[in-house]
Amino acid sequence: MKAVRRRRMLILAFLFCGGSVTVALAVVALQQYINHFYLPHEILDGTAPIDRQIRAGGMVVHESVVYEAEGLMTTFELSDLKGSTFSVRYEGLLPSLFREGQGAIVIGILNERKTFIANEVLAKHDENYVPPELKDLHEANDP
Amino acid sequence: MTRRQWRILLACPLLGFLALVFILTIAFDLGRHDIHPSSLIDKPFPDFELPSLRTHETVNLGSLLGEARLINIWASWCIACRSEHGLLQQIAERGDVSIVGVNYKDQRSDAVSWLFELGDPFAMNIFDSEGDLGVDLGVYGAPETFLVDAQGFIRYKRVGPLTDQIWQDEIEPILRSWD
Amino acid sequence: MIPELGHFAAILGLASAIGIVATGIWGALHTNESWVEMSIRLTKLQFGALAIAFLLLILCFLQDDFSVLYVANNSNTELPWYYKVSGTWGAHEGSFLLWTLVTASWTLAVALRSKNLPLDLHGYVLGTMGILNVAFLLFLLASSNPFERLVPNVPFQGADLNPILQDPGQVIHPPMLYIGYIGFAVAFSFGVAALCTGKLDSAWARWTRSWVNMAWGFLTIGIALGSWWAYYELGWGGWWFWDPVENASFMPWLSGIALIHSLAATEKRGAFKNWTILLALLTFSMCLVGAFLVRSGVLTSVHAFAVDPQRGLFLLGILVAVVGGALYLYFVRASTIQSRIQYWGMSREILILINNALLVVAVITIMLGTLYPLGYEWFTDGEKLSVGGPYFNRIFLPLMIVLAFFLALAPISQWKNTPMLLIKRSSILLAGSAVVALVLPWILWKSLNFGVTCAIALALWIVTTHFKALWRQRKSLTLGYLGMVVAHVGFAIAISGVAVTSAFSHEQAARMQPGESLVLNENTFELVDVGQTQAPNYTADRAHFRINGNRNMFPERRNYPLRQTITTEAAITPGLFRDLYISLGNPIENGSWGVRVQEKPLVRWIWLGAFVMALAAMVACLDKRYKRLAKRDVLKSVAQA
Repeated sequence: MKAVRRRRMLILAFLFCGGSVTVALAVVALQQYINHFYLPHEILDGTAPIDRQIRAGGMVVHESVVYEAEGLMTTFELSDLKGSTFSVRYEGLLPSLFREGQGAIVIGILNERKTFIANEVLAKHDENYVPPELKDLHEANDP
Repeated sequence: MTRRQWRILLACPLLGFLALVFILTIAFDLGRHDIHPSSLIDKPFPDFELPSLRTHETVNLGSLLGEARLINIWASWCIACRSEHGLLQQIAERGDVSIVGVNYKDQRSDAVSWLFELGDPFAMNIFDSEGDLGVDLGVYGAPETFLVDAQGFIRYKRVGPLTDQIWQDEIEPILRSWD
Repeated sequence: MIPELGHFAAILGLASAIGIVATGIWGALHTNESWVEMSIRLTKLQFGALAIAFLLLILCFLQDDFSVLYVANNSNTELPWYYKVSGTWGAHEGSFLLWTLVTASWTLAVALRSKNLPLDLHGYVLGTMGILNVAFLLFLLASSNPFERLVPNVPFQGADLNPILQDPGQVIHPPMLYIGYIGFAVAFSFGVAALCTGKLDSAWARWTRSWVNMAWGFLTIGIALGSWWAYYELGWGGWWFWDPVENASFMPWLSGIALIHSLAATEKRGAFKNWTILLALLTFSMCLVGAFLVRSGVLTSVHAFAVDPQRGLFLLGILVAVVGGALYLYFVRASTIQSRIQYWGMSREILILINNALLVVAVITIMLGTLYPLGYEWFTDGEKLSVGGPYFNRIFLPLMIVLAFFLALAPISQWKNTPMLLIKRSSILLAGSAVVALVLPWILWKSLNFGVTCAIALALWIVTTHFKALWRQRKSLTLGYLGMVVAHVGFAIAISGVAVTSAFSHEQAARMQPGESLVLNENTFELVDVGQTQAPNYTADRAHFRINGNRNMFPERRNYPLRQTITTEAAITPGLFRDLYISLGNPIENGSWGVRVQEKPLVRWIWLGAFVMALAAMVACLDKRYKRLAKRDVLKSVAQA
């Protein structure tokens, strides 16, 4: 009986250690896959890192959406409506709810010239929905 | 395993759950903070230049100054705006305070016929079809209501429809203190 | 009048729920049959009252009664009647009324189907279910009343149902999900009852098993429908986004699998008793946490409901009271329950232990990824971040590969100890499967990928070991065994689908003018023209594509004026081996359009596998053994008394 018990403890201890190691690995992996979020003024003043995957958001500036003559390369500007505006380049289909004057979130990489190269663009879902990151857009720059 | 170790093991799920509740509570608290931004309170009302709904002439911040104003963000597509409309009319009839409407992301014809149908409690209506003023005010959706004093400072903000209760408990006392 | 009647019916439901709690627990404490009988009768009343309340709310929608705030916010005269009906559960208040109705239905089912249970156990189970519904109904009536009137100034038109919810998939997805979630409340109640009575034998496990299977089956269907809906409705061609709300439904699903397996060991071998109870408690707790996340506005996603702080606080209260109470009970009482332990080497017990460990680790890592942004924001005072899908894939997929490996051994394994010979023999099958898995992707998709080869090798191995076992068992086949085999094969189907779709999908986005065509992996897509169509509540641009010169596809871009919403209605040519998927983007200039075409091999296998698993779980409940043994258990408990 004692042997059985010891064996059981061994198995449980093994599973527990294996589980803990996996969870610890997950915590480490987590650090690599998080995308920090930045507002337009943080993009401009150098808070946002360059050449790393980040998220950024703002309101799409009126009449700033420009399509290139060929293909699907699109350029538009995101603003916090307080004077900070940065431009975004994106190749692909814009989401159906993407519209000028509305909030949008972009995921991608910022280059040295402060142009955001997006690989994904998200727009809000309906009239009542504001992306959570943009909720305090209006307050962020208050003096 | 001793009895004591065993009991400690059995307490783990409960402790883990309490940690989870802690995270959920702070997350919830953060979320709530976002919904009621107090940062606009005691700040000047943002300047704007927009057409009036009926007369098309341009109005700006200067047109609001000089007396206390209740600024109400509404739209004809907004269902909850209907529910507070009766209250706004009572306020206008009693003459408690001058009400200014901001017609938010709406069609002009829809808005005018809405006022024709339900009555017009507004001393003035600002036509904000693109929602520019709404953005400056941090509007999440109609209806929202601001109380602005004669100098143009925002003194109170309400997200969602007004009710008799809110009017009596929160807005009237502020107005009375100014008289 | 109708809304007031509905409101009254809901209050009656609350009253009967309170009655169920009082009579059930009183009857259990005093082992008094007539009190428990009373409790059973009250479950019928509760079900009746809430069913009427729900039907009356549907009636309000059908009559376009916009004096009801909830109807005005979520319906419209132009809406087709079936979306008026489904609009009933399209937003928070109505869907929560459905949630309470589902709770009442499960309570009724437990009351009627469990006449064989010992009296005290039955009383405690009903009492616990009653407590849950009291909490839910208090929440409904206090902060989410769907019958609230909007007077004066009744609108002549409603605000319309959110367009992305106007879809057949969305009609059945939430009810299935709720049936699944609350099904786990039955297991939760059985767990609480076992802790109260201190009796946890194989009879208890047997009673609990079929309820857990049912709940898990429904949850599987609900999740699969949600994924399928996202695939065709959101217009991206993605089928799983690791969105926080999806994760909230996925965590109880995983822990439900752990519970199903651990219950088997408890029934057959009397093993892991404490652990099984804990899983029963935790699985439902995760459902409640999910409900909190979706309905409190803590997380924002496609699936989340509108925000109201008061609601969140109330739900948090329910969560703390119910889960905290149950886990405290566990802390106090669990030490009275003893397991028998005898297992060796690669016994089935050990395999189940490994299965449980893997699933628990999976749940913990998913929970970590879901809650990390919340904690981070608090620690750094408002800095925001998000955890990307790659994190979840990176952690979760290897875990599932390991799980699949051990799963293949399931039918060979035996309780107590498995002869090494059997394991050696089956490893020959693994070698064969691996060879096929190396060649097959090359033939079918002209490409090789490590993940795909792993997944297909394991899937084939699972299928062969299981069918071999099935063949050996053909003379004495029970539905329970059949269910196990089919469910595992369903898992194999699903992982093949996931691996192949993820690795071998082709996609191209382009700007196209009518008359132009593009070639994607041997298929030619020609844009013939773009026209306009109209429905009562939307207008749409409708493109006409011709595929390889013969088949036609019509993706749309719909504009719903009332909500000022545009949706992408993808055109899909479904196939067992590959889907063609076209979404129409925005118009660019001088008549050209943004277009995205995709080819997705084996994407259907994901949902097919899920449905096979769900079906198997339900079939297993029908095993005659449960009925036969239930009778024996009753005789035994009578004899003991």
